[in-house]
Amino acid sequence: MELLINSMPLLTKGVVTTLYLSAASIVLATVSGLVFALMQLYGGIVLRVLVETYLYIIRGVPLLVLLFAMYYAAPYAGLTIDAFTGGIIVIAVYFGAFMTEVFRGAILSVPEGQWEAGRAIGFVRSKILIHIIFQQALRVAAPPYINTCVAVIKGTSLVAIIGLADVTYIGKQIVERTLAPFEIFGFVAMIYFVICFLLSRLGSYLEKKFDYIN
Amino acid sequence: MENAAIEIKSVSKWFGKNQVLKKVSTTVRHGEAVVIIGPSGSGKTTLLRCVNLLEEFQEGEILIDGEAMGYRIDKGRRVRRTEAEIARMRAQVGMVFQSYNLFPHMSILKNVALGPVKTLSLPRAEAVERATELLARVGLANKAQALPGELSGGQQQRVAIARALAMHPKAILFDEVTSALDPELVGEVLDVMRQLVQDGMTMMIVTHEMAFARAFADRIVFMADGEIIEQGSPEQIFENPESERLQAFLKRFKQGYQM
Repeated sequence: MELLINSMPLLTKGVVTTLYLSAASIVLATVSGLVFALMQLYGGIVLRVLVETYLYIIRGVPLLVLLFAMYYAAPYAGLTIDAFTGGIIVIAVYFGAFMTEVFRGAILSVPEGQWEAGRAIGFVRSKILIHIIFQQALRVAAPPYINTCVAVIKGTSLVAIIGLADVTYIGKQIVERTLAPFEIFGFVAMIYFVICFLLSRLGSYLEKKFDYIN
Repeated sequence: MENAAIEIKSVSKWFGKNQVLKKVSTTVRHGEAVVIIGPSGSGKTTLLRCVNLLEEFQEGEILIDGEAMGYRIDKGRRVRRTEAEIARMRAQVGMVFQSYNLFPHMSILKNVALGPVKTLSLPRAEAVERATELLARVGLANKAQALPGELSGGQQQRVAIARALAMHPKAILFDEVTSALDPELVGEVLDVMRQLVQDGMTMMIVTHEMAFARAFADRIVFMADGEIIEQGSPEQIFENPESERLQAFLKRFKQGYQM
């Protein structure tokens, strides 16, 4: 227990890194997911094929492999990138694919009659999306969106393998030094659990807030 | 043609190989209430939806107040209008749907005011005033802040009519607007429609409500198999049906449901 307290400063730094990685990746993945979903749905055949190719590739390759590729192979391709920025980009690109599917599914779930009613009052497609479809889609998107965010947070732990000092990496360093896996990893697991749990609670709150049916 | 709000000229439509509209031609004059009746699959709803281009049609022309809907003739070839042009023309023709299609995430006041604000660029205060007036006109002034989900089907449909009226349309299309309602709620919607007819609104109505058609239509169009078989005044259609098809159709209605 004393060990845990002594390790707190280090672990805290790790938690901050983890939170920063998660937040940045979530923001990037959300924005790109929204953009790609709209491209896939309304962008014409070229954009649609591009997005779908990206989706197929990402769904077929593990996140860890992508991280290794960025870290080890990128320098050969002439790209110099630090592990931190590269980590964010890779994680965002990876989960961006899932975000794309979340948003696309949510938009498609809104009944066709809503589009027709929008057309009947003289709206063009973009107006229908913004004023009529978007809020209805948000309600459907909320649960899988939060789930994907939780997956992002857990996914950031993989950067430990490319030497990035997130809370998992720091935990592992401390354990290797002190041979106290239970306290340290137990604590690390609890950190992830608390973050993810709070996020899920936020998700439930948002779901209720968007539920205009009641 | 002068004074025509809607002109349908030789319109044909195919779903794949199946021709669902066969060179259909008819006109709705300003202030006229035209009711289209016919068996299911006759193409009457499809025809209605072609008027505001919710359905595409491959041949023919539809003119809204003299302007060609959906397509222009450019050097003898059919060219599709831009999305903006089509939207502008759609705003001139209101539509009321069988399943109401109200926007569930906003109050009924906002449902009615949305079109005027975003399409007609009315100032918010004016649009709200207009919406309040219209909701009063359809008998729902006290529910202005309610969400559609809190209302009955008949109430929702009346909101839908108010929403169409808010756009000051040249004509309103009614697509079987009472077919999804419980019988006791049908009357309140037909009351609003009767009032509109009497106020001189140009209306194109697809319905199975024969009594309403008989009492309030200026003209009735009978369709079957994608064609107009017969059209005329309610007296002509109901008292003196000429075609066998129409006679058979009316007979079934008079007999009602037979076990």
